[in-house]
Amino acid sequence: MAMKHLRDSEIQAFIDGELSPRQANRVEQHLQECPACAARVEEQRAKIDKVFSVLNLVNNPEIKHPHLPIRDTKTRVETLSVLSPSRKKWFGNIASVAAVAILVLSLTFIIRQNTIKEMPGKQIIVRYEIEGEFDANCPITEQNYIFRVYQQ
Amino acid sequence: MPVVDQFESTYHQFYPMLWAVAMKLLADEDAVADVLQDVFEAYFSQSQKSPIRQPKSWLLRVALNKCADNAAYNKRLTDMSALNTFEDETGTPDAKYDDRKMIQQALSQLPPKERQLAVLYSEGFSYKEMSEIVDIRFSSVGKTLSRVINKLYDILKSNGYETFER
Repeated sequence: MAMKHLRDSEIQAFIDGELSPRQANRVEQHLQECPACAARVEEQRAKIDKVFSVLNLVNNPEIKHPHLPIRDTKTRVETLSVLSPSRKKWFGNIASVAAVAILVLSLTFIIRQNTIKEMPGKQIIVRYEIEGEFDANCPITEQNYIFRVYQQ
Repeated sequence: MPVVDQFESTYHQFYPMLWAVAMKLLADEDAVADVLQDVFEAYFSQSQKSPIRQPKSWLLRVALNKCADNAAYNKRLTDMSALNTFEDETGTPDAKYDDRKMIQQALSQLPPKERQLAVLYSEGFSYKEMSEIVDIRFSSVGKTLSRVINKLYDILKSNGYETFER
């Protein structure tokens, strides 16, 4: 025999197609000359197939994605141009109201910036409403509010 | 909101794969759902601080760690007896449940890194990806996998799993 027998790692990588072309070439050459190693490759391949077939019993093509949580848990800002019936809610929590007030101010500022050039002298009135409850178990940054801004 | 859209596409892209990985390790739908929720929450908050360059590896590393922290992960000594009595307890044999338990039991007999490697291998990961995620040297992936396959084969065979007799 011109060369050493294959190592287990070589056989594994050969089956998995993870050898460099040069290494793979070398292995193939050896396999042609060495029935013992060829048998080992077949044996390992059979084991891999069996183990694979069992492990992949778990794969379920019908996995249902749970509802994506992010859409609900972060504060949403919706800008609407149409008026809708309003439902005002106020909360005892000063911090949350303060946070909202900052939002309102910044939004008002943005809307003014965007529109004032086209309509000089026109006053823009913005109304907002908040939906949601203060959840005492979450930090202030993770409160779940829907914040709507209406431009009149 | 582009951030959320990007997150959503990552979520849909990787959820099924992460589900399968976690299910193999935990064999418990509730535990898997908990772990994946934690993983994606962590992903979302991390990706807001700085962009995650390799979401796949990142998600898997976090998922594997969170699985290892989960109580279901180490249910090793509830053992094969749980398998045999399962049908009696509920009255209705659930083949899917049995398969999952069976796989989780077999995998739990491997050392941690081999266990993770086996799961990733069965999901078709490349050697490079596996070495990054499990944190072993690239050059030893082949050797380790060869050993893992042989161990798993023996475990499954000694458990007399039906697939082996077909």
